[in-house]
Amino acid sequence: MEDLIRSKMHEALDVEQPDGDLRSRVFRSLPAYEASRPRFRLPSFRWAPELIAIFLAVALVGGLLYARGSLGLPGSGTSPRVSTPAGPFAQVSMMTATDGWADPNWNGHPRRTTDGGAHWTDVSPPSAFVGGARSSHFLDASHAWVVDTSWTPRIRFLAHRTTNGGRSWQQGAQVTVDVVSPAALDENALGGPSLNFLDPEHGWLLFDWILQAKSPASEHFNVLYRTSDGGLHWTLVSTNSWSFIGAPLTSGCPWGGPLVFTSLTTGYMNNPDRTYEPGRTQDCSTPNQLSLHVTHDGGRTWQFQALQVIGLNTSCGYVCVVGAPDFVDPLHGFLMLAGSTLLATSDGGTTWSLRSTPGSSLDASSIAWLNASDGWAWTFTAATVPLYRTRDGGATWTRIDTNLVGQTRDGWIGALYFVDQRTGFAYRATEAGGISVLLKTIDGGVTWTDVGRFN
Amino acid sequence: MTGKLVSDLVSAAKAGDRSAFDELVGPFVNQAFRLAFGMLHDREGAEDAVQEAALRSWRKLGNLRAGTEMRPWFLAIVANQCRTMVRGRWWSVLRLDSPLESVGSAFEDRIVRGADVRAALRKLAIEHREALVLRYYLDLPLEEVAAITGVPVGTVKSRINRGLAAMRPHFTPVEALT
Repeated sequence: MEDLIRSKMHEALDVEQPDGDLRSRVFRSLPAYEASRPRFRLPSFRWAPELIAIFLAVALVGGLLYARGSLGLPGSGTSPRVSTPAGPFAQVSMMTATDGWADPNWNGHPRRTTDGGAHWTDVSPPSAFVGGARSSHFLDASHAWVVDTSWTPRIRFLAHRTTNGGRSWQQGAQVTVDVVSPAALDENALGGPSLNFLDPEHGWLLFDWILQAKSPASEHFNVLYRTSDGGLHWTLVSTNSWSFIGAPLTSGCPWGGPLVFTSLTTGYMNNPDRTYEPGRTQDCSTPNQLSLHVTHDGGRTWQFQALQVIGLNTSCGYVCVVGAPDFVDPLHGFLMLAGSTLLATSDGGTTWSLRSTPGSSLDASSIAWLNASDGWAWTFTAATVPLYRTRDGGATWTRIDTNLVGQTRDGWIGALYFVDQRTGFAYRATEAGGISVLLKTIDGGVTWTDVGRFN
Repeated sequence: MTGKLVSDLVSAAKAGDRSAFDELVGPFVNQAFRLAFGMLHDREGAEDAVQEAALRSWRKLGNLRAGTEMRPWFLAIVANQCRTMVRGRWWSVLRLDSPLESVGSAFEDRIVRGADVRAALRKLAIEHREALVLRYYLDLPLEEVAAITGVPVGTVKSRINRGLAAMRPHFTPVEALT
């Protein structure tokens, strides 16, 4: 049996071999030896003149952009849809048939399209800090946020907000995170927050950092903030620390993004792989039970909510909840479980019921919902991508044959989603997820054409 | 590589000798890439992880204690880097319901082969994926897997068991399915 496993692993993973010169490239790139140099440090003073010049240039350009934006048109109306977490198409978020956002490199530098994806313009605001990290979040065609985070000399962040599709940005107040010292964090695991906005004013921001000194037995430290003025100011809501490596686990229950809030008080966070770990002493969830991680007080406290579903065997010893709940409005949402099991709620997530699925290998990125009734699901082989359409919230499904090809030399169809009954988007991605081509349908998913390309 | 030679190389590397560092870590670069690719399923990401890990290990040479085995030390840094990269990446997109029935080129054949196992591996918790890759792809003994992952051997066994349980449909001999 072990030989079979080894053989299968080699068959699966030998598809890529290192370049012959990887070793020499690695060692050519080493800098002069300097022990224990911090990764995120302030530049030395010998660069000061250049930095000052860059700062002045950025400030000038930023000021001009801000001034131009302040004279621009006000933002358009907001979508009634609950802001769902950054999911499988977080890198490209088409909000309407023509308007969309993209952050193709995951670096908080959003691009914007107004012609259905044919052309993209970098609309990112100037960085507030030298170094650090950026995160982006897109609520609708008008509203988006970019958060800058820095760890030197102390942990700080601030949000940039746009209400007019990136034509101008308003910079929020700087927040100093004083509940943890930057010296306590693993410098190699620093990252920006995950964001979720319920509406243009109310949002949450979650940092998930790893404390150093216990590596590789990573201990996490989480900080949750909320805003009620569109990101201009943030209030600390709660903190948490936990570890999933090394039993017994004593420090706390796991937190993690993405977040999704359905009201000012109720929200969910998704961390499916770590809801149960044998040997833990902390009772985070009921062992072997399906559960969601939920708050009912705006994020101050979180509980694991067991899922009791009639007709579903809730015994689960491994990964059960494979995706965050996808709420299409404050009451209606869907949840994919392992084993292509689809659940639906019509009371904001309190109770869930079983729905049918058209395939046996679906996961959270396999189904897209336009509203509580209209959804699309896809299963595909390398050669074909049949779509399935439901108009009754997953009770029944109808097959649509498409012209999509699952696999080409350019990559694979990564995800499909719809912005109205006839208009949908998909992208073709490399195996690692790097987007290369955006595809669009205007006939409900039968025919798809290339409309844009990312590098 | 004898113990004396390693200690000499470590001393030389600590003094800033890159060729000594190359001799110490270079032999493990290919294994490091395979570990990183097994965890990330991304060629460029795997190369980046190896490069970053080499940089980290170069900078942390001063912390290296006498007698430390180089391979688990370096692979632990690679694995740590991969875990960090995985946490920063919230999704992966590739799924393949069934292999291409008739492949027309070596490229397609190479990619399609094993796609179901790769897809299943991606659904594992990163700690379980890491344990399976180290044990069954790099063929390392349990003790070394434990050293690399920083957990007791018993925990490694538990992770392997849970990983294998989730992967069982892909590791079942064909004849057993009929």
